[in-house]
Amino acid sequence: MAGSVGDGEFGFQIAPMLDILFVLLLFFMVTAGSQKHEASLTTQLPGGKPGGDVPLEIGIDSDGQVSFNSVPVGDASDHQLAPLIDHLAQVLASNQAQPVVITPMRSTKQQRVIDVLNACAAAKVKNLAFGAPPD
Amino acid sequence: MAASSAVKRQRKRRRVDQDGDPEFQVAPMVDVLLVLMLFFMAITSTEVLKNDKAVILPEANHAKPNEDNKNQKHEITINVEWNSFSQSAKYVFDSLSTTTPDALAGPIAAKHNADPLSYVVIRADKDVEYSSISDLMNVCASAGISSVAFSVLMNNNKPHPGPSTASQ
Repeated sequence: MAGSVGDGEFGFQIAPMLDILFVLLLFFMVTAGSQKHEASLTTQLPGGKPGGDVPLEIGIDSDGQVSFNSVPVGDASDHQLAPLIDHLAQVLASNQAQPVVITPMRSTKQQRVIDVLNACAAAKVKNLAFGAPPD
Repeated sequence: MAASSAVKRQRKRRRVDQDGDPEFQVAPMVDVLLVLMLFFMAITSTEVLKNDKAVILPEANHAKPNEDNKNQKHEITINVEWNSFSQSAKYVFDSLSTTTPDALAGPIAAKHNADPLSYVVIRADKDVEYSSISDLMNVCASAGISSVAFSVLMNNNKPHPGPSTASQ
């Protein structure tokens, strides 16, 4: 390389370029590896009843206790909510389009709301909406 | 001068070939490196620029993976951070950061008018209180958006029991 400069030519330095390329590649590989797989649970916005039928009401207390038509189901610390899934599946077996309205309290944590949404997704609820939280 | 150096290089290359040593080809390696780098740049930048690292997403295992979503280009992503000290939520939308969701009404409506198929993806922290989400959803509804999606982390390690009637 030095010889080519001595000849009056500016040689293209490939080694430093490779170093930089390796560093950049490592950076992007590490960044890509630390990414987590995200997913989404879709729902309707509050306002109006989602269908003609009387909707099923799922309430969530501020401490995480879930109720199905005002009857408590499961435990406040149970993230799987299997009893709720069973209740929903039984109702949906007769009516696939049965509307379901989730009404959490104002201080309910997002994780608990997602637990209930997840249970609704497991039971394949098609007509889902959120109710305005009671004051 | 230039001609003599070219002849020297040619002689050198010929000598290497005659020795039977396989020459290390730098140019194809650089090509491969560049392609790899472009690949990793593409898959990181699209997600990283949009998502807020301060948000710890809730976990779920029956959600639809974002990779399967063909409407991703219509997404309007709103991050909702939770400050446990002040017990308040902070909404981050593009470069706008606010504690009152009403401030987002204008920008969301403008985006929705530009793309009528757009929908809102709420990336809310797992500790955010529902009142903050409810206020945000009201703002979205007033902006004319009909459906929202909640971002979650896929939790495939803990199998979720499906409905007992469906599994039989």
